Amino acid sequence: MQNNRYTMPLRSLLIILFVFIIAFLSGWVFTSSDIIMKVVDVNLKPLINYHISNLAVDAKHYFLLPDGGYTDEVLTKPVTVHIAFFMIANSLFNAMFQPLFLSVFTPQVVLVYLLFPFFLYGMVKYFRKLPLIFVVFFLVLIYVGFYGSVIEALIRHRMSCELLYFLISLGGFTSWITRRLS
Amino acid sequence: MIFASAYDIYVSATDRDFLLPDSKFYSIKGRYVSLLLEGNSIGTFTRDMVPPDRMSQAIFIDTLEKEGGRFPSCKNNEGNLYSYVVGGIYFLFGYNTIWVRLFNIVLSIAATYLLFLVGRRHFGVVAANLFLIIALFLPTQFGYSITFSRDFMRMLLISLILWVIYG
Repeated sequence: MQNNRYTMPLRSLLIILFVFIIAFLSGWVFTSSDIIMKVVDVNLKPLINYHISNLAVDAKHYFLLPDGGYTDEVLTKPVTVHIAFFMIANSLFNAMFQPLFLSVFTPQVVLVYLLFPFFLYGMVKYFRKLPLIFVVFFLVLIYVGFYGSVIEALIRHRMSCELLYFLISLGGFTSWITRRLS
Repeated sequence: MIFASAYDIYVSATDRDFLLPDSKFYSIKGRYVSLLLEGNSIGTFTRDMVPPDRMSQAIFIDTLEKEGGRFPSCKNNEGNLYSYVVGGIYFLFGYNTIWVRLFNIVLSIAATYLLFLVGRRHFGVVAANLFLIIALFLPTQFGYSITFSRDFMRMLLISLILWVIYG
């Protein structure tokens, strides 16, 4: 028993040390190796440049709803119920469901799609108990998408909503599993 | 998060550091604020106080011309408010981008932990633990810790409000 008290922190320390070494080595290999840097220069940089300069154009095709160009419409015409509904739906769905194309965020996007039924279940089950979580979630999401339904929804501004989404979805998931098993 | 910290330390401690344009903007503005906090005035600013690359120099000169040795105004400007946060970090810990990155990582972990506490109370231990594992290894949290982003502060604020109410 006493052995465990001393070996656990040692094991944790070794794991942390190991992770640090791997992280440093990967950073060193990535930035110091001429071969890798050549590969990055020749193959990846043009790709990254293309991706950055065409992000808005390409991403439009992957979103559930089109960008719509409603900003001009709002500035020039009175806001009707139809336009208001379209704007909110557009900003909400575009910020919630990220476009699915191959990138470092793909596993996360796939997880968001997979957890969506459980998010709905969690929302139905917990809305009365924790209404503010849902209100904050939707308001921030609409704000993010409203600000710019393509670029803003695609980048880091939605991070706080993501955490809430996963919390609600996993709450719904475990609740659903428990109900099925009982 | 340990991996993110280690990688961020490596990137910042070597000459291979890189910042995206908006991160560079906040870094230079923060440097400007920290220099003012150290007691510098318009007459004592020199170009070698910021990195020698063209973009950093241009931002620094532009800031000097615009602000004229005064503290930036935060009225209707959330970006300037963030410059004060970055400037405060540089003032306290020294001019190195790693401190801002570590600050982001700390905010990210704190926000996740506060939501974990809310989840543990209302959704159960299993859901909260699953959330903790997924949230700490989310690529967005991991990847954006390298940028100078206001979003981590917003995220912590939202988590803090929800924790105060439901935690």
